[in-house]
Amino acid sequence: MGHTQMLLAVAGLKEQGLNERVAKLASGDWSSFPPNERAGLLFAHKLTRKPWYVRRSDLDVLTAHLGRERALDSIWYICWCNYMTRVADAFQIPLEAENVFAEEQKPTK
Amino acid sequence: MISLRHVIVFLLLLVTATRAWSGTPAARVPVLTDEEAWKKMTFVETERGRQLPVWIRALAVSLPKTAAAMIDLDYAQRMESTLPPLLRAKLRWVAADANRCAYAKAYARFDYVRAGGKAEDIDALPKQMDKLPKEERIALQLVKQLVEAAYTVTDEQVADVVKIHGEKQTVAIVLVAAYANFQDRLLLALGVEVEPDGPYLPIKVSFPKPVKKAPATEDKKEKPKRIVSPPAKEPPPVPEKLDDPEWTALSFDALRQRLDKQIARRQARVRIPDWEAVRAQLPPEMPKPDKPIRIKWSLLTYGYQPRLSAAWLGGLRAFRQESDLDPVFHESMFWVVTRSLQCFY
Repeated sequence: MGHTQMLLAVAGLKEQGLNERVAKLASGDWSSFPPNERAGLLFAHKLTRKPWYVRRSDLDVLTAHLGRERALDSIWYICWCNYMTRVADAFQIPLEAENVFAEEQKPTK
Repeated sequence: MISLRHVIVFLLLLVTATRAWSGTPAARVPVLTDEEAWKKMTFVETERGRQLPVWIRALAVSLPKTAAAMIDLDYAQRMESTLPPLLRAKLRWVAADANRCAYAKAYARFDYVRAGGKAEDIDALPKQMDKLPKEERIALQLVKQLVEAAYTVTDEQVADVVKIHGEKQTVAIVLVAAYANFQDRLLLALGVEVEPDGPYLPIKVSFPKPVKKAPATEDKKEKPKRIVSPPAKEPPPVPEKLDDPEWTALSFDALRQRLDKQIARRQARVRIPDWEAVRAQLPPEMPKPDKPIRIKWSLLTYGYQPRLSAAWLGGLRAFRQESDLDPVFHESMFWVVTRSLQCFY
């Protein structure tokens, strides 16, 4: 399991739901996601692939669907993801066998 | 008949309306003044009243703790990197150039000149790459590639950089690229321009030490309800399918195979320090984790660059406190980012 999938599991998805969601995301057919989620996912793709092409109109669509604060949250988080991936790719950091994020949330004994 | 006076009044109203929305014309989002932003960040201990970069003032509107953490991160990257300042500025410039981010290029040029370099030298970097000494060239090439196609970086390439710069500095080089890929996207998305009297010097900030509370107390304390603006009543339609031939060219099964290959990989390109070694050098201002860190990404970055990593993860902690995005939605965006970059993560 990749880290993004581990985080989706921690976010509350069970195995089947997680697999279904990832398969849908991978297909590029996002018609079953609500419009506000699609707005975030499409923005994530554009800001990651071609950040210099992001226009005011892209931000306006995102804001119209999420509201101003959550649009800013989304932008920050997408940028954050772009940091994490560069380190992972540069060093080809091996993935852990277990969900280390779930473990982080267990109470301390 | 429309008089000149009417036209002037109309233009003045237009300018006022624009400023009310964006604070400054050079951004696509609301931006606070310095005074307003500092008021939102009362918890920051520093030389208050300093001029703040426009992107920090944009974040401070609804994410003031995150904005403050970003001031610290920017300071750590620009002032406390273990890399020589001239090399660090060159690396940052090359990344900004690849991201086509004029704001970040201006700041990198400013830092280069501040470190004793000539502006014309850094502007000529793309043409001079082949003539640079090998130690600089391979570091600059690595950063450029991490911006443009990080998945194409090879074991041999990183081994070459490690051979010349050592593991610690190689991690610092990669963290310049990582920070650039974070910051440039933020700057480009917000549509900010360099401040009229910018670029600014980085600002040293400090935060009050967190008070350690018993877990039971933390559980009882509810997060205060956040006041947010609602979405539009009739938002514009959004496409149902992603229009990207590269995305569909790689099948889901091929993605799984790549992931399986990565899981089978035993070693990173640099040695990952163990928890005991990492714990021994965590910065004193960083909240001590209750349990050993087991995430290899964190062990690697903390192990070689504790200050830069603490500043980075301090930003995430602040963001988690302030934002309230649906977890499945925001981790789905993370998935989309990794897939867009062909990253195994």
